[in-house]
Amino acid sequence: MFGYSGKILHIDLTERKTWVEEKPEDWYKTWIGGVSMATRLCWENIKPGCDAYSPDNPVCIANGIFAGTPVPVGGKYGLASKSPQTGMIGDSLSGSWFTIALKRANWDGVVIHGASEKWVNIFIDDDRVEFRDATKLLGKGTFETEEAIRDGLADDQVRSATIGPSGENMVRFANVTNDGRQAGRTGHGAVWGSKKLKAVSVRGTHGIPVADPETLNQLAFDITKEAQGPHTSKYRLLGTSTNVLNMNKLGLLPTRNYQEGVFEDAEKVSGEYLHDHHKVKTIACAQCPIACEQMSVVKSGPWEGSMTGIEYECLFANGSNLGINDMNAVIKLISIADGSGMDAITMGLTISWAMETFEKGIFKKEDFKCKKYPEGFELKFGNGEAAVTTAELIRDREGIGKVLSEGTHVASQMIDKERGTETWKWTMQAKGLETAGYDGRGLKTFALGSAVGVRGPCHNRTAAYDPDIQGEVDRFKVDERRGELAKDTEEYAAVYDTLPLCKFIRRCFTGKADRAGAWPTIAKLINATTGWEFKYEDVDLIGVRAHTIKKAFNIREGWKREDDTIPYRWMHDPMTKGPSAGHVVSDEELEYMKDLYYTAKGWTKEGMIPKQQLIELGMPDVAEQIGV
Amino acid sequence: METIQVFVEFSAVSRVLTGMSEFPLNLKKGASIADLIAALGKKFPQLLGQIIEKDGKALIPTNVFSVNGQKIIHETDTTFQPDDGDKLILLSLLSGG
Repeated sequence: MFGYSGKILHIDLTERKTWVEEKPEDWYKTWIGGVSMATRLCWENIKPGCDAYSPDNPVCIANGIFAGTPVPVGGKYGLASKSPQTGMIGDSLSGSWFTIALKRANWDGVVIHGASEKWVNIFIDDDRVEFRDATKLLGKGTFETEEAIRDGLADDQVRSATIGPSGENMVRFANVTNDGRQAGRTGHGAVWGSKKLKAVSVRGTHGIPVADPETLNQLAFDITKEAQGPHTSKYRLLGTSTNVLNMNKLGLLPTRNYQEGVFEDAEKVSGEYLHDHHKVKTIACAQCPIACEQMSVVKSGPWEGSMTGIEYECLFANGSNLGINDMNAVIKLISIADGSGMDAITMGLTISWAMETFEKGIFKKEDFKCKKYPEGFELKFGNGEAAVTTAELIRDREGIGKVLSEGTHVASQMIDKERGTETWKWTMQAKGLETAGYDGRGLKTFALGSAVGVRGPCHNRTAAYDPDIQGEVDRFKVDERRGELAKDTEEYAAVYDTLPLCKFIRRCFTGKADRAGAWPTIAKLINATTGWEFKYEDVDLIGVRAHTIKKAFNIREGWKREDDTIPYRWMHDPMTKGPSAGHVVSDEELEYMKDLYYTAKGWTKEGMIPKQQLIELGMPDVAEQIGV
Repeated sequence: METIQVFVEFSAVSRVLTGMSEFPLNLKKGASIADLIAALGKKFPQLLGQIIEKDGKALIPTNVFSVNGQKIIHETDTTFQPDDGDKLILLSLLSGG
């Protein structure tokens, strides 16, 4: 078999043993890699119904088909477990050297079972697995942990995926980090923390045979050349953070916990401002010719020297969403999230929920007593120092940080039960996952995509904002096309997330990003790597299968139609300012669009998957368990 | 000849290339969005091949105009006619990752 080793490595932390599972080629043709293969491994290895923090919830890592080959932006892997935030599938992606090392160690995927009694650093040294004591790594940040492991092994080619203090403390939205990149969203770091798994390190020394190296090299060369042109210049020059002003001009920039969509100081926390005043360099993931990460630094003041990579989602969440107009505070906040290994979106939206709760008089100053401020502090919108202190309390689970480290869904339940309040009405989450930086009140197709998202509302798993923002549909209205559009955009995204390829490359195949523009070249890349004979239809099926297995996982964990929803605020609180003022997504609109979506998917009115459909997709065992 | 004045707002790459955040543009009354794009390409040739197609006839995909932050003009709609005083916001949209 070309492109794959045919082997999955199983590691049991409880028993400290390992074994190898060999998979047939047809299994790979069905699940490919990335989030699809990781979710399938989860499906096969989890005990259904288990708690996310249980030893029965495995950590599943799946390489990409193109990792370690010349294919640009193909150095990504999928990570899946049951999410402690949603109780459903938690599937994430991360890029760069870790996955290449794992591929060069001859493993297509890794499944980590059980839980360790003591903190452990798994070291995969080609086909040898070592359980290393991680006690000395405790308390170290994500970047420092990677460096310490390399130093300890005296090998700068060892690559690690790690958790930081947030994961150790089981902050519910902790991330896993490798090579400065995060497998974010859904709380993988907390799952690792529950297993006392501080890091997975890899040294891989093998080559990666492909079926047709000459063709693959030529394709990769052509795509790389295109990736230096106008299709990606916006990513290279300024990065995704320019969406701050884009969204502000459309009245869609989350401001003060989504109370408004226009921020009066948007220029001061924009990508353009970041570029002019804070950017120090642009960096790229391994195997990427684009380089979109804008490394930015605080140059003076109390947070001088704080530095991290900035992109739109973390920028909106910790800037306009907190009413903060000081970029120094925003960079500091994001550096706390990245350095300690927690999701910068959920962290920002949890702080903004707490700010609104404070301003509504439910949280008091004394709720924020801590070592730094023994009398407490006032967590008001716009107060950068208060936000930074709150982020540190979350990271350390100190004082009010114990509650906030649970994310908005659980934290609001705790506070509402204790104080008889309804703070849940301004939690910006659905299924327990906080929303992305596009306001659904002014993007009706995206509101649907967010509602039905299998890992919760997410900008990366659905591109349903595209038809809204590009004028294909009226973004303020609903019509009969929305179900089909939501289906098409999520399955399109699932192809990229399964290979995986970074979506920023999507116009570099032919100039057109749609299926007709991209799928034929992607089929050629797959065939040159594996020797298979994939066609357009087979590429399309990659996305359908990936999305279906994730949905099937959720159904087996108890998903119901009413779980497909959006934040209360998007349905009941219209914004008062800007171009999107006055709009909400009504209950009737949402239910109508969900009907359209389930019909487009070929599912029942209750959102269940027919047995026959699962059988036709090559999932007979799934059909047996959850098909109707 | 009757003319109208519209205000083109730049952000992101277009702001870096033009060095300005807004530019007033005079057009014949009844001019279409295609006429506006052509005029913009002549005034700012540095946008050609980056934001506007090299032939000056259309925006490169993912770049769109929003009229006053409300209506978004789809790339296939070349006949839209702006009104006097309209803000034409040039958006370079980014998504994915």
